[in-house]
Amino acid sequence: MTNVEEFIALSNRIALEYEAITPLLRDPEVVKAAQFLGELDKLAHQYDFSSMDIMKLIDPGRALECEKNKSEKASKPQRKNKRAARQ
Amino acid sequence: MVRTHTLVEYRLKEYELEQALRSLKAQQEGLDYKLDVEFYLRLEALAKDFGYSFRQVYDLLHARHSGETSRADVHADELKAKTNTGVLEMIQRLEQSPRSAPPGSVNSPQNSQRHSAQRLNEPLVSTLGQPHQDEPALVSNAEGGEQEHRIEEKVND
Repeated sequence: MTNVEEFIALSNRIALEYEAITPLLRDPEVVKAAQFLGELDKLAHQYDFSSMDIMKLIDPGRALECEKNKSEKASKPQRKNKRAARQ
Repeated sequence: MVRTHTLVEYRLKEYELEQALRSLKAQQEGLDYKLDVEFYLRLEALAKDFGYSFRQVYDLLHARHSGETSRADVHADELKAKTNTGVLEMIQRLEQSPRSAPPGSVNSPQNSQRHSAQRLNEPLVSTLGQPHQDEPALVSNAEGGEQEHRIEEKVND
């Protein structure tokens, strides 16, 4: 697969996903959440906060637990390369 | 046999806590702490503006945070913020176009002009999605996807 072919294949896949997301974007609840996250991202960037930092700020107990679970998962990597699988 | 002195242990712990509290108090004078407090207050105000409880904010962030990318957290955060900006732009475009027609299929010169202007600074998702909106044959069906890819590729050749 050349780079161009790969690019076109990926581009086509993204187009399909784009089609799938469109109806969701008419849901006011989704719109609100996206707008909120946008504002939050701006604020977080301004104050140099990562998402994880914010989660820790809001609920330290839950965030630490989540982080622990994640590092446990990460220690046994089992992700296969989707791009390679497509070929 | 030596008896354990719970009171002594208690007093020692009390002392340690006191020290820890004192150093925390000292940190409260620092600029970092003040910035963090400022951020916290603004976060609170923003959540209130949108009518979200902190729990809901956490859930939103958690949902986004735990999605797929497991490594390189800093970059993932940046990428997700970018994706979200892209989504917001898509929402804006949807609001501008009439409800029945998908964005891009509107043929009025006004609209196409606006789209090409937006295309310049759009993030990858929507930019790559654009060309297909002129082709009504595309269905958002994951199973039919492979077949369509092949057709698309022929066309693109």
